Amino acid sequence: MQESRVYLKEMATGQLVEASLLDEITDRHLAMWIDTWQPVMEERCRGRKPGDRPEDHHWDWKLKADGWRPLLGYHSFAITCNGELQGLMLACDFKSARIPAQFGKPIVHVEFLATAPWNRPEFQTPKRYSGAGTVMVAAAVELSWQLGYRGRIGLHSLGDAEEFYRDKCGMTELGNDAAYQGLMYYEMTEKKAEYFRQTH
Amino acid sequence: MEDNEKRTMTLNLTPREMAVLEELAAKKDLSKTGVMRLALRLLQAVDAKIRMGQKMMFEDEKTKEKSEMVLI
Amino acid sequence: MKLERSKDWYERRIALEGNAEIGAGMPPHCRANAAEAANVKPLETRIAFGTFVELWRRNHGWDAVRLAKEAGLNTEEILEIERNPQSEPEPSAVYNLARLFKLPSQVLLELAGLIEPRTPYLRDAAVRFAARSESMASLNQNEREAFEAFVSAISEIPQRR
Repeated sequence: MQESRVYLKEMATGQLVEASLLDEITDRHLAMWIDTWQPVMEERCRGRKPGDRPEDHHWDWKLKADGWRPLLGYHSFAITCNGELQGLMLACDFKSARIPAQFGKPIVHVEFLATAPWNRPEFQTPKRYSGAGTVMVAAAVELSWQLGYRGRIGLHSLGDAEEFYRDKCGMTELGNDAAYQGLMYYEMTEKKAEYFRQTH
Repeated sequence: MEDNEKRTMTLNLTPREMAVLEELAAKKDLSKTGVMRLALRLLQAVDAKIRMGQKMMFEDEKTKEKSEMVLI
Repeated sequence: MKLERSKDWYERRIALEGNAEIGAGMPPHCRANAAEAANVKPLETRIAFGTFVELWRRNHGWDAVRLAKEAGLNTEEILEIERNPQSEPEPSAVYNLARLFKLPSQVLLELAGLIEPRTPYLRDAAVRFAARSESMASLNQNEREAFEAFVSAISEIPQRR
């Protein structure tokens, strides 16, 4: 288990603040999820029709953890800042690339990525911290790099994140995936990954 | 990834197995060790699904025809 | 895994993220589509699912309004689940109920006909349960036994993701 010092931007002050990225979602993170994140999510869902609820409201990270923990091919990440949980991600490392230039080569596939409710404009505007998504994409690229996959990653975008993945991260849009409720599938090429890691 | 303490083993492969390993390493753009480790992770994940009563299916992208891959 | 980037890197990259909402992964409706694609015929188990929800509620002395409130759902959704097996419940509603009932969500999704049947004997157990249960003002001994036996049966099924 390794901890990295990362940064998030506190939106109220515009300042970068130190945060921690751990390459494992621990029981402590799950307890934080249950105590602080889940109640906000449930409150948000109360009385709302299914289509109006956050798309990830049913994700049970504690239940998911029981499934992924014994498996070598899954990698979990958690970001904390000021003693609070800011984002969670689960990635798997044995899926294959779809872009013709790297077709069939292994990628790191982001299975689940969610930022804490207070880091979403849907819950509060501006969000408390910006950057949790960026840190998680960087973590997925780094994991891919360290596995020898040269930074190749893939993911199915939720909600309003499509522009972020396509225009800000430089990922290639590969169309709606019928196996994922028509969600848009994105993949990062080796070249874009290198660019993402180094300069922008 | 946290396992910095690695163990070494010798793997004896037949010429055909070695040829397949080399072919996969080239296709997947991985070292031969990388292929073996990927195979281990994939097999473990598939085995876990099968043990939970799930099936491993392949779908033909064009015809949408599904076929089950039976794992021994 | 160690992530090492300069503070400048974060400054530049986070400016690009701005106030956007970032998420990725399996949305709530995929399972329903998968079941549709697999041509699932869920009516029998869904009757049991509706009956089960109703009996769970009555066993706790709750009305549909209270159950809806506790599960974070609309009262109409609860009534639809309890009374209309033709109607496909939202996967998210089933997740919420599973969490409230402290039962494996996968089994309830299967009962609700939202995922392909894969639990041995679940359909038979569900049909037997539905057959033994009748809507009455309060649970009688027979209903209580049927209810408790069914809770015990689903609780023992290993959880799946």
